[in-house]
Amino acid sequence: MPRAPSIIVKAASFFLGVICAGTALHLLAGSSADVEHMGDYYDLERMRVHEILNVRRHVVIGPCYVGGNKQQNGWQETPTDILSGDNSTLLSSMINYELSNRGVTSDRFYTLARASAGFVDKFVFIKTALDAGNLASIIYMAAPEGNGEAFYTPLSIHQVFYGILALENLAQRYPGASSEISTYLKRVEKSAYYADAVAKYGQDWRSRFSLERMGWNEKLTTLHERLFPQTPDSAISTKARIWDAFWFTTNTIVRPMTDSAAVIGRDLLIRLTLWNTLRDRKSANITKTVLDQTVESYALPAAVKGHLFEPTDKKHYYTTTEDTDAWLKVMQSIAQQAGFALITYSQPSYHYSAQFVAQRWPGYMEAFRRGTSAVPSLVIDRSLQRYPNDFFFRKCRNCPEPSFYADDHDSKVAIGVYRESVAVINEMSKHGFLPPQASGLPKWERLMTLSPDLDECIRDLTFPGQCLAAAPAPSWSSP
Amino acid sequence: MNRTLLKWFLAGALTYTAVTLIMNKGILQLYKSQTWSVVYGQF
Repeated sequence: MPRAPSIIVKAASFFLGVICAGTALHLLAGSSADVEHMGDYYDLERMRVHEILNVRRHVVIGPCYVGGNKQQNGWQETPTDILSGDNSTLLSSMINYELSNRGVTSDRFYTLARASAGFVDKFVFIKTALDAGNLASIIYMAAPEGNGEAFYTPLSIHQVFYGILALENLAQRYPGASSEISTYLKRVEKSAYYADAVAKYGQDWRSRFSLERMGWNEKLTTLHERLFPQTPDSAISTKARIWDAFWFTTNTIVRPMTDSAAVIGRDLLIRLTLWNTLRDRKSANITKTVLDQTVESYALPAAVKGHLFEPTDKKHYYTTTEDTDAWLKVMQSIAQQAGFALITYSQPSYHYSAQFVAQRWPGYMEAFRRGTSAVPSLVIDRSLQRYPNDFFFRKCRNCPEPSFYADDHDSKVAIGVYRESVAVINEMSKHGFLPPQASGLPKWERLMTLSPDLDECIRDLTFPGQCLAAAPAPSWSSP
Repeated sequence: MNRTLLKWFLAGALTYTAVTLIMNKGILQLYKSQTWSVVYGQF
């Protein structure tokens, strides 16, 4: 009778099996390995490392339309697929694309934006950008009708807490800015919107709100930070994913429950009509008719109401000059300490009437010129560059009042944003915020003069019935 | 003896295969769901 094998021999057999199976699987997998994908992987990895270590970062911050419908993806990076929609039509992506056309690899642009035009919660973005390191400049996309010190829907009132927490973090990190920050914090804590937020969430809000708990992927974030502590990589990706999870949830679950069917239907209709225009240029006239009907039947009264600053169902706190000045004061102080430039950029805006701009805009932009003068700064005012198809008809999905912006799924919009990206690059390189080789002729010159379909009548939404005068062709050589 | 050792051999091979496939499936899912970038940073 054969002797039973010892446990050592059994274990040896077990591990021999493991080794054989491993070898077989390895050979099988190796024989079918996708060489192209491996190449992609190494390229991506190389670019990623370059990006983490070497690039100077320029971060575009602003309200929802800055990030478009994909605002939930905090950091946008799509260098190649430009006209495919979504993130690729963000200003930052377009700028990155054009910079790579011009052979500039030293600078990269990012977007941090969410559905609030409030000043306070922008400090979360500032903190995130500083966490990532190599921050060269903050580009604030400004729009006077959407700016408030806190400007929120009932869904986002708690964002003021995150703003406060981010400010406290920045005060610890930059003691030189702490006196300005504490002044600003006192101002915030005296404000009406802070009182409302405390009334809703309680005096003990600090026990429930923290920057680390902004998202639903807390466990994954914690794991990641334990595995890769204190790397710039973690600073980018974890914070971005926190925003991602947060806004994905908001947009996909909460919004359909809160918006009426009419609003959703209107969005869909606008999107479909623009999509049809893209697919079949012959249908432009039909599209235009449908679009006009859509505008008249759904959006126009709401938009006019919004621009008269008389919202009925949502709570707003509109900015004053003092708000802007106070915000710029603390921003400037942080920028001085952290060493980044402050750039203000205003995008083309169809829906501002001439009267509106004349009354409100000059002083508004002047406040930014004055308020950022102590640091390297630049004001790029493109608000009156009203050539068609730029930010036209982007729907600011989470903004409290309906307003008209182009939808970022549309390549007509991509053309407009591309034009803007060229203008911003040229202006920034002219003033030394980008390397000299960044300035130059656009790669896709034809896009700069492409004639749009719907340029017959750009409606002035604050004064229904008028058409805006046809704007001159954009001049990219002198933006 | 041979049959016993064959059982242990197969157990080792199957265990390794199962673990590898399950792990690969998980990694593939992570990769496809873009959650991968949480681990490896976002490119």
